[in-house]
Amino acid sequence: MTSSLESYRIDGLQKTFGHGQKAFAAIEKIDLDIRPGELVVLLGPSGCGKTTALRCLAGLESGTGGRITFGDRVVFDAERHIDVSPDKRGIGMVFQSYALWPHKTVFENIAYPLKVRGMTKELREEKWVEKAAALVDCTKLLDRYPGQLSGGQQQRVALARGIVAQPHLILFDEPLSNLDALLRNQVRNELHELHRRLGFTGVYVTHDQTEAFAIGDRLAILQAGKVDQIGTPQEIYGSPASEYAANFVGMTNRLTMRRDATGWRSTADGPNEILDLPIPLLADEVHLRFRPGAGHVGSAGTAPAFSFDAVVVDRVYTGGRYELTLDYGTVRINAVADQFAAPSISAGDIVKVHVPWADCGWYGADGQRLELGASSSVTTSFRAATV
Amino acid sequence: MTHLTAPRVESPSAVAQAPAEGVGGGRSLFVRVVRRHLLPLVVIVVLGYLVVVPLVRLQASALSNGGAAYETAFGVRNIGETIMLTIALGLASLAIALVFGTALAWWATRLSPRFAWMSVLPVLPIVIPPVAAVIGWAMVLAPTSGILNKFIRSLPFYPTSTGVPSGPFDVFSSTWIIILTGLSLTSFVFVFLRSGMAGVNSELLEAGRVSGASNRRVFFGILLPMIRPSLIYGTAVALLLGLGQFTAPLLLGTRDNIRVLTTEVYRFVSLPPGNYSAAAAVASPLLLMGIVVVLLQKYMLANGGRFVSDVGKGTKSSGRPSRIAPIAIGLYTLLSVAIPVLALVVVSLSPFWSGSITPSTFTFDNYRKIFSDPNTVSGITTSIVVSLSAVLVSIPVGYVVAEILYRKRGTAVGRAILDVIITLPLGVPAVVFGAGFLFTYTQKPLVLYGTNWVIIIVYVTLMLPFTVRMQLAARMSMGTSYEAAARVSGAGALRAHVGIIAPMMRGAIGGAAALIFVMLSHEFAASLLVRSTRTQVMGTVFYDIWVNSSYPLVAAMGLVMCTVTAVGVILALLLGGRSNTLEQL
Repeated sequence: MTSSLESYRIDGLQKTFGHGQKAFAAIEKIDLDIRPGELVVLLGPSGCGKTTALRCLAGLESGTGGRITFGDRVVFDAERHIDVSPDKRGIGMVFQSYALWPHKTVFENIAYPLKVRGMTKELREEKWVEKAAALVDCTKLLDRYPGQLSGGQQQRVALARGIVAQPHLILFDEPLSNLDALLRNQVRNELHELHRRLGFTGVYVTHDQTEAFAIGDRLAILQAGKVDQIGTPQEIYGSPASEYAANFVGMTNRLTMRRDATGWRSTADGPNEILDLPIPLLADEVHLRFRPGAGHVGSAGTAPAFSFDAVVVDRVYTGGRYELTLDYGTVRINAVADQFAAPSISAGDIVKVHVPWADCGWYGADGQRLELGASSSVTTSFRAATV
Repeated sequence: MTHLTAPRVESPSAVAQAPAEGVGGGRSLFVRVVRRHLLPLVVIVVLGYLVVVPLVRLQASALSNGGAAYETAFGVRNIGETIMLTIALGLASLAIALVFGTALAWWATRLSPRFAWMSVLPVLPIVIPPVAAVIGWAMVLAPTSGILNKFIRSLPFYPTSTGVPSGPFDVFSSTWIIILTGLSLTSFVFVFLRSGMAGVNSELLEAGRVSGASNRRVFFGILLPMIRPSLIYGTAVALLLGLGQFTAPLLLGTRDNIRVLTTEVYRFVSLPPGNYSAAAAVASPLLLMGIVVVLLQKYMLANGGRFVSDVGKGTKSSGRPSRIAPIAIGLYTLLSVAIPVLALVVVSLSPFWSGSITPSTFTFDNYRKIFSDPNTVSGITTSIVVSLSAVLVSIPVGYVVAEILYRKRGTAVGRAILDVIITLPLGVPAVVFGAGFLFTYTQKPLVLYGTNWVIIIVYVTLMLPFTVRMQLAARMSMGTSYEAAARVSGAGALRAHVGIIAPMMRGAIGGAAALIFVMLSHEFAASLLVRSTRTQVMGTVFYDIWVNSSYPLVAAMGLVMCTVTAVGVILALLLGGRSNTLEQL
């Protein structure tokens, strides 16, 4: 299978719905390079264009601009009016609603891609249907109808139908979103394993960041029809390129600081300390982003950290630790307290919050990440100086 | 898993290379335009010819000679009365239908599980032959020989009068024409409103109740505004059917010379030698009203998007069952179906009819007479043949139109035109269509008069709104993902239709086919105009018996029609499944 794998390219894909005043750009402009054998996840909130992009790859929607190439074959080119229909793209797809045909048995559902492509030898002699069913553990279901299956079973059948013809490219449109939480994790891990064993190239659409991190070789974060950032899960988790990406991967706390003649101050009403920030001179306004889990109340630890005082609003036990809702001036933030520090904390207390330097994301006024350099001198000078 | 890791042998069909599209410079502009627009264009032209040409030619003949036909048509004595009565019939029967239809639809959602089956009963008047229902009531309320009248006169406190005993009710009056029309239109309002109400999540109503609103207030303040699209649609359809009502005015009004515009159209066409221009002229107010109502309805529903957000998520339970509900629905069924049909049964078994029920004299002679008359038998055969043929044509036509409208093929303007074309037969009275078809197909280029073809074409045209709406509804509830799944699996467009979409819609298609057959098998108004001496259908045979023969024979023929209908309904239930067939109407 590896020998025939090819790369897939999306160049300047655009998709606008409607005309004139009502026109709406679902995809403003997307460029994406999908390498052979990798699973790329398109991640973003609803309405960011991720499903539209996937459907353009499948040929179920036609872009209004740009090009899509499968290997050296152009399947879509707006300028040259090329638009290969979905049945001729040689793909597999798993739908959010599963889209199992209710009038066909599980066997007939899985066999359909082989049947319509005329792959009778694979169907009859090589038993590809049975093999695909075995891969997703639904051999016993082959004689049943989709209406007789549970959600999880339907999901597996849909998966089998997607992979049965061994398409080079398999598309996943939020395939796990209709499963309950426990089952979702299980199927997700199975899918990961399946990808590792079969090595197909895949594009996977989801709005769930945990799912995206777990399953993707690379993630593309989409915002309003554009790719905001693309990279490995580690890259995106560690250094989100924009505030949008940062917020989406969980850095929900946001503090804004502004520089005046005396130095940096928070814009939140209340705290008036002058902050010693390692920000280059060209920026006069920065946004600090950090995950609730990165803000510790209690022991400061050894790592250099950004520390500030905040007022406790509420304390919630979430198993193993406490989550705190805090007010830093007028800005509400979330942090955690360990089991030892937390019991003594109650609403109204003023506590010190420590955010390790390594867990801080700094963003300029334009929302783009500020790379501060890793010089040790900065690290040491980085602390809050209380007035 | 050897099969999935083995080097893949490139099977040519597995991943089609599509050389012409994949490598070359794309299709030519011409090919692309043809592929995208040919089908919608052909459909619009063919259906446009079918629907619009007869109406236009009819209207053109009215306007020729400087509109002389208008002078003939509107120079008739009492034309003012005729117009007033037409409007009164439209509005008054609409009022009756709206009140009862809305109430019945509401009650139908409040039936306890034990009576849940009753929710289909108010649909029955649509499938019962209207001619049979009207004549059934005539047997009950005819001034001298009506069963009820005779019974009331026999009561001890009824004042004795001199002369021919008559009254107290006179079914051959405009009042009863309006009441009976309203009673039959109630079914249509019911059908539209019930589907609207079924789409409303009961939690929305419960939220109103717990907020402190009374049941009545929830009904008027929350439910009715929420189902406004169904309400508007139902009102529009009922108004048009009332204005274009032909059956009751013709059958009941002729005796006392009660006229409405539709009967005038028929009179001008049927009086030898047939004055088409005058018929067209007198039909033009109806045509105009039909077009106005269709467009108005489309305009009012243009921003329907905000009403549909809660459709489809409705839960089954809809509050506490009502005890009045089964009684009210039962009463309506009694009035609209049971009484007229029972009257027909009684009269058809009587050797002659005087208004008294005497079971000892009951006989099947009338049925023997009916079936020994070759005209009747050929009428029944023709009805079945042309209705089945029309079904065979209109189902695929509806499928294709539904595909164009649902998948947004062709241009937006084209689809809007198509939408109006397929809605027109609902807006224009069947009599007017009949006149238009008679006028069009008795002259070149297509002379079809005297053959079954002209009836089939009329029937297909009349059924366009139904075949399209029913299949479109099924298509919409199916969604696009099944089709998309077939396409990405490698099936071409045609194969996806044949193997996936059509089989998945077979319930809806079967139900639509059977219902269309039922409605056509007792079609009366248009048939009466396009029939010839050689081509009669059941409805026209029935009319001839009514005009020329005795009550018992009419009653027998009416029951024969009911039987054919019943067979069709049973077929519909078997094909479409009990739950969805009648609801899809």
